Amino acid sequence: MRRDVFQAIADPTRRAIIGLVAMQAMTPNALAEHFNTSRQAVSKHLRILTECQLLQQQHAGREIYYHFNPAKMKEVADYIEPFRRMWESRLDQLDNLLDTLT
Amino acid sequence: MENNMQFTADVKARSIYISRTFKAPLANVWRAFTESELLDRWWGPAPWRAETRLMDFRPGGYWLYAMVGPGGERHWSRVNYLIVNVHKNIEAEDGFCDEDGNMNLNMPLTRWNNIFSEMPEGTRVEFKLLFSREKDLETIVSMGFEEGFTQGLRQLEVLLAEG
Repeated sequence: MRRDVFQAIADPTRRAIIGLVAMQAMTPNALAEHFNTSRQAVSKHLRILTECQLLQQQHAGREIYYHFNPAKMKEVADYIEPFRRMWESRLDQLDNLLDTLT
Repeated sequence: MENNMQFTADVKARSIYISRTFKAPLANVWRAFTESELLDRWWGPAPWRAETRLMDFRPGGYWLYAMVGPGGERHWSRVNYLIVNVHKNIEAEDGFCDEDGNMNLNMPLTRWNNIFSEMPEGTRVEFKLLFSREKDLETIVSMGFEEGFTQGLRQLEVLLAEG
């Protein structure tokens, strides 16, 4: 759900997690070391990020590694695209109108 | 069509920046933003069109208009003008309302700063949009994008649906 993606990236800690995981896959423990919050809090963020598919889990032995899913992030950009095109259309019309003003 | 539009969305700062330069004198561009007869001719992205009900362009005044769809449907909006510096900038807030201009405060407000600059090649118009109330970022992003953008998205959906 798009709404979930936006809620997910609205939180600064979750954005920081995405930033870290985007550079390399990480375990929850390794991630937790970067934050002052509890391990439980980090787990909750990871669950939210995984549920909305911004992160993906990969099991390696007993460890779970979290990977960044760039395709999902692109959806966020795509979501804004209609708004951009609406503006483009509107400003094209302004451009045409201005041509008629003397 | 030549197009020098810049469009930057910053989810983190809940802001959108749009800039475009027009080959037209500043005075004409200003008119297109401040005279409702002209606004009605470009503000609604086709096939929608803007239809002004009331225009009172001055600080403290407002513009009440409907976005009229191809099927005659109307979405009312109101722009409250806050600061006007002639030929320089307009600061305003924009929200949804009913046909009498009563703002729907459950819907997000958008804060605008439109900046006009004379350039060698024409007139540059910058739009700085801030999707905000006092609410936290989470609400703004999830709601602001879903609801605040609805106007544009709805129009685009209609547009796309019609091919």
